[in-house]
Amino acid sequence: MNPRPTLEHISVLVSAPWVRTVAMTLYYLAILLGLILLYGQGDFSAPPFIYQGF
Amino acid sequence: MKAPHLAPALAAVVIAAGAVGGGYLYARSVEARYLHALAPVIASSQFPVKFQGSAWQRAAFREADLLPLYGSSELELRNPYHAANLFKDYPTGFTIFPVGKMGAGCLAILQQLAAVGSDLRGKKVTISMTPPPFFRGMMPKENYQGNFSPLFASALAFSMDLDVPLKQRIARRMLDYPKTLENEPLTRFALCRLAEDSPLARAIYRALVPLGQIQNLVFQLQDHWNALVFIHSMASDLVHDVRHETGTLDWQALAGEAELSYRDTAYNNPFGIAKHVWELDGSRLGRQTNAYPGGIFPLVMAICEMPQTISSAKEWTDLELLLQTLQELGARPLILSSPMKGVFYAYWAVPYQERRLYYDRLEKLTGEHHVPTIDFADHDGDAFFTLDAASHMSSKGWIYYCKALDAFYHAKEIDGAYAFVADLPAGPGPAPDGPRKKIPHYEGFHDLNGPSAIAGWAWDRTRPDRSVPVDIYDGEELLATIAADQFSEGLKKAKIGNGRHVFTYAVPERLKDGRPHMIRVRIAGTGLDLKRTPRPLAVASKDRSQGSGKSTRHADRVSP
Repeated sequence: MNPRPTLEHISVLVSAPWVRTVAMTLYYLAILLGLILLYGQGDFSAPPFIYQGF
Repeated sequence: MKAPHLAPALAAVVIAAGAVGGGYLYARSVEARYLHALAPVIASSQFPVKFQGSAWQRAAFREADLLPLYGSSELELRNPYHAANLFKDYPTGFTIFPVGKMGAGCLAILQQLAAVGSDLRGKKVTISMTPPPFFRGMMPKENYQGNFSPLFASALAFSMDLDVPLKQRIARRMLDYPKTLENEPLTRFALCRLAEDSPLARAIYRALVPLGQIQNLVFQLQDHWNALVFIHSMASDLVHDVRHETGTLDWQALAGEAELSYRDTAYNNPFGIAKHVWELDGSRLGRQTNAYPGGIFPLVMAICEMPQTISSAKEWTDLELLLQTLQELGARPLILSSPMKGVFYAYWAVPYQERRLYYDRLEKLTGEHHVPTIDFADHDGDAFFTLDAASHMSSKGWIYYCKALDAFYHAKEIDGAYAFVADLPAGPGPAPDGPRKKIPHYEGFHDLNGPSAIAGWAWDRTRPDRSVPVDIYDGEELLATIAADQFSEGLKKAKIGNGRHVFTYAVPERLKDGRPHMIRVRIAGTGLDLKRTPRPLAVASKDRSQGSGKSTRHADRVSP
């Protein structure tokens, strides 16, 4: 059975370069996905109008 | 320690780009799955992404068994013989993909096709049009706005498939509707530079193109996203299997059946106008007494003014631009035009000699661009080919359209488009010119209402140098009929005929009783009120200084 992670374990983990790289990648990815979700749906609808016969 | 930003940022961009690319491929596969089931949808309100985006349209051009049909309101009106119904089960191996919204003109259609771009190369496409837009000075801005899409406009502005000189001419037309571009700064800026045509403007435009291409890419991805959202919102109602029932169509029998069926619904008027249309608008379409500004039906007004407007309508420019766009995109088009409702035009005194200006010019313009065209001019006098005065096709008209679409789809070589409908009975030719004279087009104002005189002006725009009589009423009582024939310098300066169109009527003594009277002025014998009439008149008996009830001069006090 693994011992429970302590604060010391976490700080050692966070200071590891590969962890920082993955965390930063996820951070940027979250920003990009947020932008895609925010602006992904374009609005190409035309304003409603009263048809004037032709 | 310095945080490593560059590598994670690049990795995130690569992963996000991969996700977007995967999403794009997924969207295309979903679109392809539902394309045939959704192809016949004609109502833009039911399937907006088909009409305002290009993803579905491009997909349709990639499918061999779909024939895209672009047009306007005629495609949105329901009819049992509509091509979308007749070809629904692919009886001869294909169905149509209609793209037509109310009020769409050639300028809107050419933008849609420019957005399809290279997917159009070598592909057959059909375009339906109706005559009325070709004799309006300019398409109403509401109609253009109602068919505008930022995606189409940007695709055209930064198209790599069209030559710059063509884009310049299209840009100038698009800028005639500046409101549509208010929220599209990049597209508007590019169109303005295109329209300018100076060396500096051309250089700026070229510098903008890469940015424009990125905008187009973003719009296309958004378009696919919208398509996915639409599919998911409709998922429970959609089936992606379509029925294929091969069979033969007996066109002659269908034409006879469709005409009989239509005649049953168009019996309440002499023009072959559909019963429901006549019930809605018949009184305005058929009564000359409504031929008065404010009362005349816009369509009737346009028809009556057709001989003056047909040569200068902007729609001809737009058609020429559309034909050139089709040429540069390498499409194989067929143009179908419904005929005018000749019997109705003749009723409103537009003779065939003037109606044929449309047919002749359409033939000449499409001939110059080698685009096969059927204008059905031989059905000009066929009251049952169209269902209304705006030339929307009736059931019978649709059968002729369907026959042409079917023959065009199956044709390997096109040797004269009229051969497509040669199996069907030819039309009766032009409707005979009616006995009616040009309808009068009255204008006038009731300017002055007491205390000594009632005055104003009236004229018939179609007979600018003749005077017209006016009736003057006190409530329901006719007081007098007098000629509006007095001269006014103001009217002459305002180009109201020869300026001799003023009437003045001295208020009779018996009306100067201090009690209110409602004075109404009408064009004599028509029941047509002048503008600003009726007006209340109350003259106290102390004002009885003049007023014999006779016509008197008051020309200086009227204004045009």
